[in-house]
Amino acid sequence: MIREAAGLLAVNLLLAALGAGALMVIGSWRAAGTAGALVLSPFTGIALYLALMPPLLYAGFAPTPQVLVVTTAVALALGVAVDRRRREPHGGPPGRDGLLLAAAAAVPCGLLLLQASTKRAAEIDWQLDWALKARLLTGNGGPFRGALDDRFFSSAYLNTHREYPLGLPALNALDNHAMGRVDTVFVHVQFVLVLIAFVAAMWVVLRPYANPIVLAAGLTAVAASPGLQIRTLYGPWDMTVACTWVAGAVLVGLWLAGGARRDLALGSLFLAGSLATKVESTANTGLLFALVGLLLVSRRQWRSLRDAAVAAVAVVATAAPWQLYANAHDLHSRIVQPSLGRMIDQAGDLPTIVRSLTRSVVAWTWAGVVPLALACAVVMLLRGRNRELAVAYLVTFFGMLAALAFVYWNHTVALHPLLSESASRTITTVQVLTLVMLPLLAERALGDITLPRRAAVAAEGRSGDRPSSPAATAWRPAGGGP
Amino acid sequence: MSVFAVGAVCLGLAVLGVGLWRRHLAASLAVIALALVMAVSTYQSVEARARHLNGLPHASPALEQAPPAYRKRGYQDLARAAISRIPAGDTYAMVPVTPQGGSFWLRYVLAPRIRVEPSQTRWVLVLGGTPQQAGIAGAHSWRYGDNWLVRR
Repeated sequence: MIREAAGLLAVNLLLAALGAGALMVIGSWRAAGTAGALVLSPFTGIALYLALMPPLLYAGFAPTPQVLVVTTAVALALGVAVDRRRREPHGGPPGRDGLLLAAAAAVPCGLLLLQASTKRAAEIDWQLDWALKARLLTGNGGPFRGALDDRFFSSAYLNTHREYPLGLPALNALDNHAMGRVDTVFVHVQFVLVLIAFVAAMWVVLRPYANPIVLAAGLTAVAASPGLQIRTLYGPWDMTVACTWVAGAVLVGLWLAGGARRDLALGSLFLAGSLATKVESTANTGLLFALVGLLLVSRRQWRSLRDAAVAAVAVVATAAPWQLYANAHDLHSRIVQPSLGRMIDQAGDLPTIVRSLTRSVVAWTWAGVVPLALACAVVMLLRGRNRELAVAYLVTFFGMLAALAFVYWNHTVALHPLLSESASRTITTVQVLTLVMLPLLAERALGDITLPRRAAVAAEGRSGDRPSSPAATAWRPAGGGP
Repeated sequence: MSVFAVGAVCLGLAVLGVGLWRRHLAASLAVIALALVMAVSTYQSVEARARHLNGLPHASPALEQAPPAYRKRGYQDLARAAISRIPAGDTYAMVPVTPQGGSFWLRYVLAPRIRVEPSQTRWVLVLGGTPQQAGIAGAHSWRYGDNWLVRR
């Protein structure tokens, strides 16, 4: 186990360095401050690896530590070169607030790590999809090239979710190489590290906008959430796609509020990572950019609309090669095929679908979280506190539920088995979004907490990118700045 | 695990919330509300996890073990022999003479060997019948229960 742990630690440090390079290129390295950026780096690196590795696989490269070392070196060199030309000052020195989160989240995360280190992969999805592809990618090719083979997608590999992108199998294969063997037990630790990296990243991203105590409590609830812990151990692909998508959506929201384009860039990177993990992210990402576009058109913010369009095109471009290949080779699953005729024929299924989704969204997270978050958003609307944030959460929440309902409505296989097998998994992204948003919603709905001075300075810095942004003021807590 | 972890976190949050009461009323309310949510749902979360552990494939064998229904048919021995004889970078095919099932498990456990059509490889796994019945002629063949490994 020591060999495996050392291998995993080494590749995750490399992934953090890859993330650091990306943050320098984007400009978030300076904005977050060195300590904050170091905390943000692991999740950035993981998301970038998920998005970057599939195109590298198509180009003939292998998901090995050697390729990661070269990629990281290139990213760091590029990052340092770009960062040197920037004139912005670094973010302020780190406070001790982060210790609060670390102390609170250490217990659930530590226990989950222990459980993950001995968890056997017995789920059928490992055999049919993730571990199978990881074994194929690990065992073929050399240290630099030749891991991917067209024959992995032949008819001999039917029922292996051939339509899924290769981001997560590539990460698994990297772990296999690092651990020195094909592993289906200790590899679960990698996914707990993804969860921990996500919680830490959300701390850095949301800390300027939230009371540290409330945020620490909320993010500890994310790490300790039974639904997310179960997903981490039993369906890590669902946890990974949820965390990367939610991180992307939160940063896109921050860009809308503050106008800092680096937030949009980093959010796009996370969304690209999400798209490279599971096809389920496609609907959510399309919904997110559609909502953003509608909002910007209604505000007549044409420059921001152009930025959002560029980001959307960039995110789509990262997923396009795989989608084109999958279409060309007819790899797509046929369990959902949208058509008006099918929707009319199956209109009677809607109540069942809605009932199943609403039951899943409540049952698989902390029982009170979703009602509490919705209640907080409604209170914010009624009391006129940060209405834009409340509306953004409510529209996204119900929009995602509607998108899921639309997908299930167009089913081509028996509905009840489909819902019972997948509803509790596909709903994970909605749950994680709610868990992450709850501290912000609760804080704003319940009172007028004074922003700490450092946070106010950071908020000013963000709004300074676009001084006239009305959303920048709307995002702040009800009490306003000091 | 969850009860103690969540209990400790809830206790800490509640203490923090009460401690903040005079300085930041709203913050303390939010923290206490979160602590209550976590505490109240601890019972439910443990139940949900237990239901998950008992109801889903936690009790099933590790991926490297043949599914229980196929163990008597010699799959484990067939897989072991195929792994030892077929080089890791090579290809193989599976030809079921009678419907056997379990080919997904064999496909998984034989990776990184790549499964192809019978005409594209010299290694063939014949399931549930003889190579003659499958129309496979080979230089060497090895029997494992009802199954055969053939090298052409």
